[in-house]
Amino acid sequence: MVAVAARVLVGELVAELAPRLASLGFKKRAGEVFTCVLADDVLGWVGLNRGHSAGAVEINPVMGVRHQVVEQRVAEALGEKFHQYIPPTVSSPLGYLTGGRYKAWFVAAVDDAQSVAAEIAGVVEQVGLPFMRSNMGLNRLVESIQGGLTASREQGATRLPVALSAAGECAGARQVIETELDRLAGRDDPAANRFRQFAQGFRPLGPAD
Amino acid sequence: MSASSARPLVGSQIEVISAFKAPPNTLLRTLKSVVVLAATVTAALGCGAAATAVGGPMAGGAAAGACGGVANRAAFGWADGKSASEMLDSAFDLRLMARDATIGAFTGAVGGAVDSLVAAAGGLIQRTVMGAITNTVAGAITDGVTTLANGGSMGDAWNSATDLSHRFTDAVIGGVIGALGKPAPTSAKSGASKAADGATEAAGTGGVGPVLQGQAGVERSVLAAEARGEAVIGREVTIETSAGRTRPDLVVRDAQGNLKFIESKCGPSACLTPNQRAGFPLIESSGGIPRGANAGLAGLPPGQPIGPTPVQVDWWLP
Repeated sequence: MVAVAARVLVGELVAELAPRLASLGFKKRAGEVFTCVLADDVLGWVGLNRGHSAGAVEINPVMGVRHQVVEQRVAEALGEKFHQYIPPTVSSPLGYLTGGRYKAWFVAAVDDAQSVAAEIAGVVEQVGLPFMRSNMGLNRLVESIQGGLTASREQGATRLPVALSAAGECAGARQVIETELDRLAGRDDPAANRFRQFAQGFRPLGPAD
Repeated sequence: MSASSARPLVGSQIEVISAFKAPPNTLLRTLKSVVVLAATVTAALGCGAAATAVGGPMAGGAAAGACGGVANRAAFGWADGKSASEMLDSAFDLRLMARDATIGAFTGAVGGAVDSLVAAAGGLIQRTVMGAITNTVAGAITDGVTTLANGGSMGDAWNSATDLSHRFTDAVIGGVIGALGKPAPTSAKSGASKAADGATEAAGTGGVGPVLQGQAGVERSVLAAEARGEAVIGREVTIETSAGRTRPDLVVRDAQGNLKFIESKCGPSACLTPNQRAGFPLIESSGGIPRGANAGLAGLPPGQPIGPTPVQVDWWLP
C-alpha cells in the first residue's frame, strides 16, 4: 500500500472545503483556518485541527468566535503583536456542538476529500454558524468564557476581564484579575508571569474609566 | 496517572522517536531514517510477495531479504552522505546480499512452518509465536532508531538492533503477551506476508502494526476521557518545554475548564519516547508552550504559555 502524504490529503480537503465554506461567507486564511465576518469586530472561526493515524488524516473541526476588540486589548495589555485571526476568543470542537461527543472525520485517500468536505461544510452551516452567531454579544461571550469555552484556562483568564469591562462590568473585571492573581500566588512559571504582566498592562474599557 | 510515575503494563523497548526535540543535524538524520525505512519496507514487501507467489515462503523470504538489504544499504548510504559509487558498492555487496537472503529464507521458512504448526496446534501457538516475532521486530526497530536519534552511527544502530540479549527478552515478553491475548484468525497471515515479515526483520525494518495499534489506543482514550466528563479539544498539539518538544495524542478539558494532556499507548511493546519521558514531568510541574499551526487550529494560541498541566498516560492492551 502506498500511503498518501498527510499534507497532500489535507491540501485536497482544504481545496474541496474552501469553496463550500466560501458560499457560507468564510474566507480562507493561512494554514487551515477559515473566518467569516459576523459583525463589526466579530469573526466566525473554523480551524481544522488534525491528528494522524495509519495512512489517514484525522480532522477535528473546531468552531470559534473571535471578538477583535477583546483580542486587541489582550494583546495591548501584554505588549504583544495583535494577530488578525488567531486565536478564537471562545471555541469548541464541532462534535461537542452536535451530539456531545468528539467527532472526527478521516481522510485516507484523495478520493475521500470531496465527501468529507461536503459533510464538514454541512455541519458548519447547520451547527457551527448558529454557535458563532449565538456568541456575538458580549454578555453571551462572558457566559461562554465563564463556562469554559476558551481553549485554556490561561486564555480565559485574560479574555474574561476584558470582555467584562467591554460589557461595562469594570468592577467585575478587576475582581476577576485579583482572584486570578491570588490563585497564581507562589507560582513562577511562564504562564503565571505572563498573567501578572497582563494584569499590569490591563486597562478597563468600561464607563468607570 | 501521573506521567512521572507511569510504567508500562508490558515491557520491551519500542520507542518511536520524536523529531521535534532533535537538533538540526539529528533532525535531518531522523528524516532520512524515515525515508530509509520506507524504501526498505517497500522493496522487501514487493520482492517478498512476488517471490512467494512463485516459490513459496522460503523463496519469498530469500528474495525479500536480499531486496530489502539492497534498498536498506543504499538508503543508509544516502542518509550518511556517501557518494553514488560508494552507495552502489555497499548496496550490491554480494556477501551481504547472500547473508540477507539466507536470513530471509530461514525466516520465511519459519513463517511457513508456523502456518503448519498453527493448523496443527491451534491459535495458542500462533499467538505466542506471532507475539514473539512482532515484539522482536518492534524492539529491533526501536533500538536501532533510538540509537540513531541519540547520535549513534549506522553501525551502532545495527549493533543495537541485533543485540541478541535484548531480542531474546523481547521475544519472551511478546510470546507471553501473545499467548495471553485474544485469539486471532488463523488466516490472518498468509505465507507471503510471513515471508515479507522475515525479510523485514532481516533488513531491520518494521510495519504498520504498531501504528494501527496506536490509533486504536487513541480511540479508546477518547472514549475514556469522555466517560470522565472531559472534552477532547485537540489532537497532536506540540508542547515545548525546557527539555524539548513533545506532542501528546490528545488535549482535553474538564468541566472546570482545566486542560489535561493524554498520551495513549497501545500494545505489548509500547513505551514513552525519550522526549515524552523528559517532557511530561516538566509539563506537569512548569507547564509548556504550545507550538505549531496545529495548536492554533485547536484554539490554543502558539507561543502563549500554559501553566502546570497534568499529563495522563493511558496504557492499553491490544
